[in-house]
Order: sequence, then structure tokens, then C-alpha cells
Amino acid sequence: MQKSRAMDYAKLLGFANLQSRSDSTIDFKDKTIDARIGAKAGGEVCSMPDLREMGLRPPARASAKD
Amino acid sequence: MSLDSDGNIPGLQEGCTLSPSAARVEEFDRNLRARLFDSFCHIAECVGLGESGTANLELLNGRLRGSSVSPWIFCLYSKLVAELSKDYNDGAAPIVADILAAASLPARAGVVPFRDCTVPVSWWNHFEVLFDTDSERDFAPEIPSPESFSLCKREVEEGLSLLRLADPPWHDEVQGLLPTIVAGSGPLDTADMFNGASTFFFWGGSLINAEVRRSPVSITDLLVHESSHLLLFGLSADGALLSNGGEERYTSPLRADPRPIDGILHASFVASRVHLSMCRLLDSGYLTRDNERRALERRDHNAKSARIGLEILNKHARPTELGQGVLDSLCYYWATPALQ
Repeated sequence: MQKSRAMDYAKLLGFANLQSRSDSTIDFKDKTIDARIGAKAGGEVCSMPDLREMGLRPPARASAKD
Repeated sequence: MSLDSDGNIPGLQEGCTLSPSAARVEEFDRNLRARLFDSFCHIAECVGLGESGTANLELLNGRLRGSSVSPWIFCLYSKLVAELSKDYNDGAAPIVADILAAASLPARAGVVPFRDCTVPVSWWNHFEVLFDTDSERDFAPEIPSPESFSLCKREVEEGLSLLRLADPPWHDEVQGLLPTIVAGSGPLDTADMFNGASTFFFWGGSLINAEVRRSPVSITDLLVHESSHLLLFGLSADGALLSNGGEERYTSPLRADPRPIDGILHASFVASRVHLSMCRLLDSGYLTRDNERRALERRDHNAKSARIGLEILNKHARPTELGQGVLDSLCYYWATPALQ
């Protein structure tokens, strides 16, 4: 399938913020795309209450987040 | 603290978007389906469809106008756009066929295991792409063991049962936002054990970790948390919430790694909503002593995270008009005298 003309990202759900990058290939791992299209939210490690409930010890670096 | 008759914090300013609303979810869902169809029309204009393509578009239009659709349509749409963004692409036609196949799936799949064989491997591969977006931290869920999946499914059911009894409006909102829940398996190392994750391009579903054992309060926390990410996606469907540069990174109240400012807004928004949800559970009278203790801990943990996030947002966020509304809601909520 060949494009007859370039897509206008402003007209595409979820990609509107990429309009200034209309000549770029979309890479979901691109740092700036990740921020702009909100590709993923969450994915954070289990919170202290979650770990406590499972009887697990939190990692040292998580203590500041509690 | 006792809540008012609407289940809100006493004195909360009207118009605060944090309270649950199934009607708002339906409105967002309709809007997203309409916007998705407009996007397909634009793609069709760009690639040229031919006769069969036009007929397919009409089929899709009927499905998208009718009622909620499977999150796989949104997932495959993002795959199609990514494929077409390449200078030379030869994989778009099969993706269009996949989208039509996904249109016949029910919107509500319930709790399903990651890489469930009822869905093609290529669809799961793109699902994984959507979740593995961080170049500095691999995110690779795995297939859960039958035991873990079964426990996870039962815990989701128990959490929804508690929510149905204790907070029917929030139960209805969660059901509207999460008709599909994918249960995956993740690392058992506590430093890397993910709880849940959501993506704009899987509207109607979230990924949760089947290896984490959860009480009804804990799963309620997770379901409200993940569905609130989706709610914010629904709110931002018509445009960006913030105008900050995509390269900016700030300390997150929920994650060890620095996050884009949009991530901080998400964190503060979902933590605020989990706080409200825990307040409502505590006020319901349906919690056992153990669950009351858990809800109190989660209420306070989320209050702290939300306030830290809000401080960062107040310092650094450059909200659009749409984002200002969300930020105002967070500010109103945390300025409520009953929460001081």
C-alpha cells in the first residue's frame, strides 16, 4: 500500500502532537514521542503498600517514594 | 472524615473532575470512536482505498458509530499509522484486514491472559511495542502461569464486588473504562515489579501484573488507578494537556526514573482519584477492620504522591486550556479545607 500523499498527523487521533514531525517515521520508543502522545502511563513499580501487603521488603531506592 | 451525600469531600468546589461519572466515560467513548473514524477517513484519503476499501470503511463506520468497540481496534490503528509513517511500507494491507477482524470482537473481554491465543500473535507483538516505550528500562510482560492468572482473575472479581457494594458510581465508571483487563506476568524483583500500565492506544483496557497478590482494597486501588489513566487519555483526546517540550524530565512521585511532565500530571491525577476512592471506601461502612487499615494506608500514600506531583506541576507545567482545567481540579481538590 503506497501513500499518495503525506498523512497530516493533526487529523489522526492520538498523534496530533506530532504534526511538526510529519516527515518522521513513528517510533514508539522515541523519547519525545513517548512524552507527546502519552503512549504509556503507569508501569511504575509496586507501591510500598502493595509490597507490604505481599509481605515483601521494598527496595532501598523506593523508600523516598513512600 | 465524613463525606457529603454525593460521596465527595465536604466543601469541594463544584466542577472538580475527580469524582466518578459513568456518563462522562460514555461521552468520551463516543468522542474517541468518532475521532477514530475520522482518522481512518483521513488515512483512506492518503492511501487510496479502491472499491473494497470504501465498503470496508462503511463497515467500520457502522461499528464505530454503534457502540463501544474492542481496544484492539485502537491498538491496530496505532500500528497502521506507524506502518504508514515509513517512507516505504508494505505491511499496511494486512493491518487493515486485522482492524476489520478486530471490529467483530466484543468490547468487553473481561480478564484475559497476556498473549491469549484467541488473538493473533502479531497483535500481541504490537501491544508489547505500545507498552515497551522506555529506551532506558525494558518493559516486557510475560504469559502468566495458569495459577497466577486464576488468582488474579478472582481478585479482580472480588475487588469489583467490593466496589459494587461500597461505591456503585465508581464501580460503574471502572466497568465503563476497563471492559478488558490483560493479566501479564512481570519480574519478581521488588525493584522492578510493575503493578499495572495503560496506553492511549488500548482504549478500554489496561495491563496488570498477575503475579502481585492483592486484597479487595489493593485491587480497587489498582483498578481506580489504571482506569484514571484512561480517563485522562479520554480527556486529552482533543488535544494536549501541556505544552512543555517533549525532552523535559522531572522527578516523579510514583517512579524512580525522571518522567515527562505529562507523566507527572498523570501520576498526580490518578493518585488524587485513588485518594478520593479510598476516602469513599472508608466512608462506606463496608470495609472489614483489616481492609480499613489497608485503605487508610493507601489513602495517605496517595495523598503524599499527589501533593508532591502537584508541587512539581505548579512549578514547571505549562498547561493548555484543556490541561488548565485538569490542573485547576487538582488544586481545588487539595485546597479543600477538610484535607488540610
